[in-house]
Amino acid sequence: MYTQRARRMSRREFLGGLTVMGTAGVLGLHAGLEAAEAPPETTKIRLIQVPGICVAPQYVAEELLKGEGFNDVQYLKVSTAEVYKVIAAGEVDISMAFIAPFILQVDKGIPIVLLGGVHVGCFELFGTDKVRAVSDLKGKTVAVPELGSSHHVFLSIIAAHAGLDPQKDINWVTHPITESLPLLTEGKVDALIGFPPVPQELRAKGIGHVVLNSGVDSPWSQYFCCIVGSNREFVRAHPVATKRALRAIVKAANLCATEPERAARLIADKGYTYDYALKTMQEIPYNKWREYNPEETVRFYASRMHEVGMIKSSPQQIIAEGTDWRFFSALQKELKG
Amino acid sequence: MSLLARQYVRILGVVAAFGWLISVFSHAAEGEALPRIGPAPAFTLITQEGTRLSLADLRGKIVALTFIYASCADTCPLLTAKMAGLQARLGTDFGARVFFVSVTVDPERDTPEVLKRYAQAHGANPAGWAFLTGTPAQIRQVARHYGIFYKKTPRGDMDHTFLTSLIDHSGTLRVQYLGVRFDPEELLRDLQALVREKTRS
Repeated sequence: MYTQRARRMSRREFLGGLTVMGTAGVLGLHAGLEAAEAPPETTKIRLIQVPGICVAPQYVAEELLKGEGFNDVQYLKVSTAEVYKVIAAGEVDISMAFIAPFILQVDKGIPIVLLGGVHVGCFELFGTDKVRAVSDLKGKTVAVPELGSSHHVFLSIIAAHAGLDPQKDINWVTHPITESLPLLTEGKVDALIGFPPVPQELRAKGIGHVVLNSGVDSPWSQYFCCIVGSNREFVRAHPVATKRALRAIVKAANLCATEPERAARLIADKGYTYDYALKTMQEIPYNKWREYNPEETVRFYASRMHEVGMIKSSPQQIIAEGTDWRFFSALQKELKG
Repeated sequence: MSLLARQYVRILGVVAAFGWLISVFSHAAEGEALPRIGPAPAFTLITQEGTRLSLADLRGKIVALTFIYASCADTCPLLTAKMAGLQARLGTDFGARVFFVSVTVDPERDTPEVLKRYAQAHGANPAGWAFLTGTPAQIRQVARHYGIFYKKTPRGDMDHTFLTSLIDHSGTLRVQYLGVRFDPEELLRDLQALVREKTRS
């Protein structure tokens, strides 16, 4: 009886909906986002500054953020491993970072929400002559800044994808990245994975050789590398500010691609080496953010991480609990070029 | 519900579904409608003719808004040339239904006279294209509202970002093109889509 009633109501609702849609269609009326874009709910925005420059768009975005109504733009200097902690703690409002550790945080129930992708591959695996392929890492010594850092997590995923057990097959050693470069030169470590400006510096100095470039080598090159994440409470309380901040970052990403010299100058103003910054701007496809799907990226990485037991949640749970693409989807339509 | 009423609901449903399908297919053929970002920020500035022009004066027309400066030697001329090439492509819509506005980011040097020479040098038809200047404070505000960043370099040039904004006939900001490497055909299609949208409304 209940089912019968429910079915009858559904039909009415369906017909009613069709009537509204059909009438609107005939008259040429279409619902749109007519609401005015209000000023941001807060004029202060806090981002991270890490040793790496693959997150260049958020450095370049400073003036664009001011243009979006953020009079107080702050950069908190942290290590790459601390990025996720400070976002989760609400000490930083929004930031770009490598996707995989974001997924680890979501899996742990930490209130981080992923908002959109910015660019594909920037990580490169460098090795000595003893390492020609990822599978050669078995039994080798690999330097990472910290266990749990983006470097460690990403290379673990790559190694697992190549059939290795990253915990058992690789001898991980931790060194600050600047100390790792001479170790690779001396053969004291067999490989290291770095993100800009490290690959640019290694190439310039002729240290090691590229084993894997996540910007070129499939499947890594098919997905976003750095993604924008935020504190869930910040997004909930500041939706306009979130969209405006995200817009400034993706606009800045295009600037990095179309005007690399200017972007490199702005990055150098923050204390980075101009030449490496310029190389990074020229090598990373910063203007492709409209062409990739962030949800597919999350699904891809979460699947790899789930397979090797790095996370307990299914990819769909990660997407459901840790992503909010509405601002990014809107910007993919609102910004062209 | 009576038999007659049920028949009526069924017929209405069929008619509505038919209308909806026509609407869906016609929009699919035209491409997805451009988003509506929000009301385009207002401004009132001085044209190359020395007269005042407000965005509100252009209500009813589709506006393509760019930011340039006259002594720019590298990128601005590319953008202006790209826009100039669209004038003829727009046919009778140019001026009548579509209006170009180029705002200088170098108001201290770009007087109306300078902008007039710049417009003439680039073949801009004044019937549908205004070049605007103002006080530094006015320009800074307009640029900021539209997401343009600029600053004077030590050499005296203006370092600025490029963003071409399309504003519909009702004054709503619809889409922004980043940089100067965008496809002019895509911009033309968007302008024509907004003209069709105005005609339908």
